[in-house]
Amino acid sequence: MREFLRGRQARILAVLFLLMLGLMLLDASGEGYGSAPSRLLAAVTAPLQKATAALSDRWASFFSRYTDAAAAHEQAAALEAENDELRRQLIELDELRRQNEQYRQELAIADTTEGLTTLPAAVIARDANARFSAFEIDVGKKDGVEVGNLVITPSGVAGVVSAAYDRVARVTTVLSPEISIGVCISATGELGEVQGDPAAAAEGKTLVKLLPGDCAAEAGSLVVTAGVGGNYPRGLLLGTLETGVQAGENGVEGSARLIPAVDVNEIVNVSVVTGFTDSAKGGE
Amino acid sequence: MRLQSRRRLKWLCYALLILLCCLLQTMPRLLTFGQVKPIWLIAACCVIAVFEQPLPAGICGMCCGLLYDMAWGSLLGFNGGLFLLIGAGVSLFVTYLLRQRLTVALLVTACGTLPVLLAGYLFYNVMWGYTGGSFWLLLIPNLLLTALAALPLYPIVRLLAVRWFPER
Repeated sequence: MREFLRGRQARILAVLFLLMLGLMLLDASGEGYGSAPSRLLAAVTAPLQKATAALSDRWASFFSRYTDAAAAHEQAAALEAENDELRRQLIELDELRRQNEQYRQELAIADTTEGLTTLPAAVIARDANARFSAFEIDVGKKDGVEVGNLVITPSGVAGVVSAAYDRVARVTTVLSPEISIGVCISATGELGEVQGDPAAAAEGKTLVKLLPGDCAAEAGSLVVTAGVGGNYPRGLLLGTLETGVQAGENGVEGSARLIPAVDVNEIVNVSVVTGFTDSAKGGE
Repeated sequence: MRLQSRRRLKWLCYALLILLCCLLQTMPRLLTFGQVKPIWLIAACCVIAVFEQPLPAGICGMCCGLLYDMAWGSLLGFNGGLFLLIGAGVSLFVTYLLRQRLTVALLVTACGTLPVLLAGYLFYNVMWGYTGGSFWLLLIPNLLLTALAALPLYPIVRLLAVRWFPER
């Protein structure tokens, strides 16, 4: 051992370790030295990841037929009951839709979800150990994706693009504390901000912060993007409140746990919102 | 085959194995158990280190760490440096104190995973105040799964290092 420590190998290893420390400093200094190798790796591995993602989906769906049979049976019973309830609501909804259309025409209000320019994408990489369920998609800068673009599914918002390379992009999900999306409670119109929390993220939930302390929203209230500031379109579903709003220590601000509309650990296909018209924007 | 050619072929095979581990690491849903997925790259680093000298083992570990950093956007060099120490450390331990056995490979892989998980938790959670209660629940299964990931890698690396391309 002493021979090794005094020898050439130990010295080379020490130099390499110092090199790694230097790389860390350069990367942390934010001068972009670290992004070049990342881009190179993304370019090399993206086609392979695309192929392996397809393979992995087939593998998972093949085995899930057998392993999830009991859960599927229970789910079918629950869905049947839900279906009955939805049929009843559908009748009410038809009536409301007719009225809504009439009011829209009278007040000349545009549909909030119209006017989005979206780009379909597939999830090609995901590490269960990655913090807050981040994942990678198979579209990037060359497809028109930019950092900050919203990533959605038919169920609602999944996250925001946090890094965009030529042909792939990394998505930070709504569970992450690094994310911050302006939202409003659909029923009351009160504004807040969705920001992840590690304890909530462990249970697949997130938080709505900066709500008024006396906010009357109850559990089950829908939370949608507010579109304030014009960074994101308004009216896209983020989820439902798990609890009522709990006022903070000062009583001015409140927060509530949010059940995301999208299970970010299970999604396979997403759409990236690359643009939206003025009609989809909220107030400045 | 000349020694130099054997060596080159062996390291080419190692490089392919590491790339395969990187793909397994990032493949969505495959071999994911609940919230936990084995860290294939640390398993590859440790198993290769069992059969190699400290310097090549350290360099191999550094490559695995850099791939891990690049794939998941962590600070470039953070895992590179950590994996370098682990690779060289495992190789030294096996050279001076242990033997090239499957049980040893599983044990050193588990031991090598521990500092990676702890450092990640310290630098990315505790320092930023993201202290969730789930860490210890994830740590043990993650250690076990990563050690198990060494199980299929061990015979492959042994085949390459001892049977196909022996350096002696």
